[in-house]
Amino acid sequence: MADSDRAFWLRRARREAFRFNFGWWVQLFLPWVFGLGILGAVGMLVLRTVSQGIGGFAIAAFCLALAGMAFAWFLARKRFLSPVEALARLDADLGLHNRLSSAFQGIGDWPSPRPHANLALHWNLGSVLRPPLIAMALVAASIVIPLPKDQSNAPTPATASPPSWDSIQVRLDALQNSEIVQTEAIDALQRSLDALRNQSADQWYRHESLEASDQLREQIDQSAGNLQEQLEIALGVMETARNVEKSQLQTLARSLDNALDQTIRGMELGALPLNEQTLSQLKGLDSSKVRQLSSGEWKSLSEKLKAGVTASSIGHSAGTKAREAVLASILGQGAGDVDRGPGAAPLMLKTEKTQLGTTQTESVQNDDLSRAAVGDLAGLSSGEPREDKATWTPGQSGGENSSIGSGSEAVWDQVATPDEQEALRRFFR
Amino acid sequence: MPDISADSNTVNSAATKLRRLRGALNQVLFGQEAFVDAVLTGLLSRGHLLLEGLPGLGKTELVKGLARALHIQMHRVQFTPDLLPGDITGNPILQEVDGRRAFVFQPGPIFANLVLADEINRASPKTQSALLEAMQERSVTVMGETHQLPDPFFVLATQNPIELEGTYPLPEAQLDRFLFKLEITRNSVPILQKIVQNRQIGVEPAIEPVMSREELVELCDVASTIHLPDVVANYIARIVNGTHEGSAAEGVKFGASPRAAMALAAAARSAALLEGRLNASFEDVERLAAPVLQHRIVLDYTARLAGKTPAEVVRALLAAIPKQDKAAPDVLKAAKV
Repeated sequence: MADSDRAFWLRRARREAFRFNFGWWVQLFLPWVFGLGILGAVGMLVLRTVSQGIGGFAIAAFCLALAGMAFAWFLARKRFLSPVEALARLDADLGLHNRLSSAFQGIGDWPSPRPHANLALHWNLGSVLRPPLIAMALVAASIVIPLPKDQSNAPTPATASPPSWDSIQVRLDALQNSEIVQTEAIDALQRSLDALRNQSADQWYRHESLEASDQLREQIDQSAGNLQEQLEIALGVMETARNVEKSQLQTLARSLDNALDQTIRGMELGALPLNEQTLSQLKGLDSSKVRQLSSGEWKSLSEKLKAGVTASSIGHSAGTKAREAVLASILGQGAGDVDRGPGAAPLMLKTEKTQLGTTQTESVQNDDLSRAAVGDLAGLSSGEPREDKATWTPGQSGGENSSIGSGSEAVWDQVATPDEQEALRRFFR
Repeated sequence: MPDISADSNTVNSAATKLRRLRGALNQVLFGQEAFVDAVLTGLLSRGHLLLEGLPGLGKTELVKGLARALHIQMHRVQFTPDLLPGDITGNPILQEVDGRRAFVFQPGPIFANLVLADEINRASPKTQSALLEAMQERSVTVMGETHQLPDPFFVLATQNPIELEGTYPLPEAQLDRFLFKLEITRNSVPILQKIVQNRQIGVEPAIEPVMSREELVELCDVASTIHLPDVVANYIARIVNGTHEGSAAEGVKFGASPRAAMALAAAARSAALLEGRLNASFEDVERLAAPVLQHRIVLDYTARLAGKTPAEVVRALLAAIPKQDKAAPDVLKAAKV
């Protein structure tokens, strides 16, 4: 009986000592669990981002866990309870008056076994489960949380081409569609544009590329502008030839023909020359032959030329000055240039005064003084000096300014000398 | 230290006798069972006791009853400020012996098995020291001649916690000689009623001897053989050490000495014998820590000013120091018992 009692209590002491020691090991291992959870979550996120397998990482984590267990045991062992010490704890917790400790030392009998002979300790589930649950939650979150797609292999978004290329293309297309300009000339410009487009996208916005784009655009602008001008002049000359009185035609024929020839030559030799068909059609015309065109022929020709004007005017406003100048010179109105004919150019200084044919000078006067600004001349009068006999003022001489009021309400009163008055009269006469 | 621990028969026999003694004393002092047990524990430990309590609570009655129950010689000494050391220890008297004049030592009241030193704090320090020296040495030396005191020898000193004017408080070094400082508290109404119904002024309670002097000595010897487990000795050491360092020792100027540890061990053994156990236990140490330690702890000025008492220090010690010295992990929390 005594042996069985002894065996029971020693067994119980070993069991409780194990529970006690396991508690210490758990307590010292829990920080590792928490740390491994954080590490696992971070590792999982990294692996998912780079789309790598978790095999190696899992092995490394397992090894770290084992190392943590060993380290926790190493730290905990000095706190471990031996079975003899467990007997003393059982004595205290069960109120046995140290019978177990004494019996172990051979003094007295072992107490009778009792069913719930445990240390008065129970697991603090909150502190035991919290770290591993948090660790598992972190790892689970790292698996479940959506990650943005890997952008390293994604196609790079297309770089937008410089806007000037689009406008150049629009103009070239318009010129092409007008079917009035030589295709080779347009193709040459198109090839220049294509050469710019065919660069790699990172070259598009380099300074050299942009400068080349600007030069191409300016070249097209200038060429199209010249073409537009020439076409407008040609149209204007031909319209004049068709619409002028027969009696006047003989007088103006030479001017009209010269203007038309010059225009055609300009259109033939320009950077955007007319196509052969249109050119040959225009070359065969003079002022008299233009009048001889039927309505249909004239309409077809004029619409073609107007289409050319429209196409070449894209991107800038159509200018009519050259046309007006040419027509004006043909009709003898004089624009004041070498070729502008007799007469002075408008708004140019000349020695003779302009006789406007007027005999009366009109003066403009604004009687509404509510909008008078500081310094405006409110009025001009001639009369005796005002004298306020009620108040004494010091002597006042002519040619001085005086004011009444102050600040913005000051009204200036200038008294002019007789000579000043005469000068003013002559000025406003 | 005895090599052989007491066996169960001896302990049982001793416990029986002590139960009879306890019963007899509880008939002298009503409602003070714990106080009586503490006194008996102190006697079994061969220790001197300092009893503190208001007048009229039965301190003197208990000591007288103890002397009658144990059939031992008892002397009562009323300490007054004019008491001289010789009034306690005895004086040599010039007498004619065999035709010659010689000084013959006349033993003082201290020569008894049980000495009741009433209001010990009223005597002068010189007189106090004469008694305390005898308590320590268990002998008296007068004019170069040493006289052994009887065996067993116990001093039960009393102190009045009020009327402290004109008193000489015992210094800490001499308080250390007392095994216990026990406080006797006033009685409850039912106990008072019982006292009123069963006692009369001037009439001492009748008590028959239940034990002889030799039996008492034998019981003291048995008490010293009660087994003190190593873990209990470790517990005692940690408690006494705790009066010097640790959180519970805050405010303590001087802690308990190794004599206090020995006193606590002896008291634990005696308490175990009183309950018929073969070994001392944690519970014995816990119960007796306050009587053993509270008069040996000196608080600093700040603690005294804050109203802290040595009893509070001992309570804090017992709460802070676990019985088994390895702390439990936080993941295992103490279950409510």
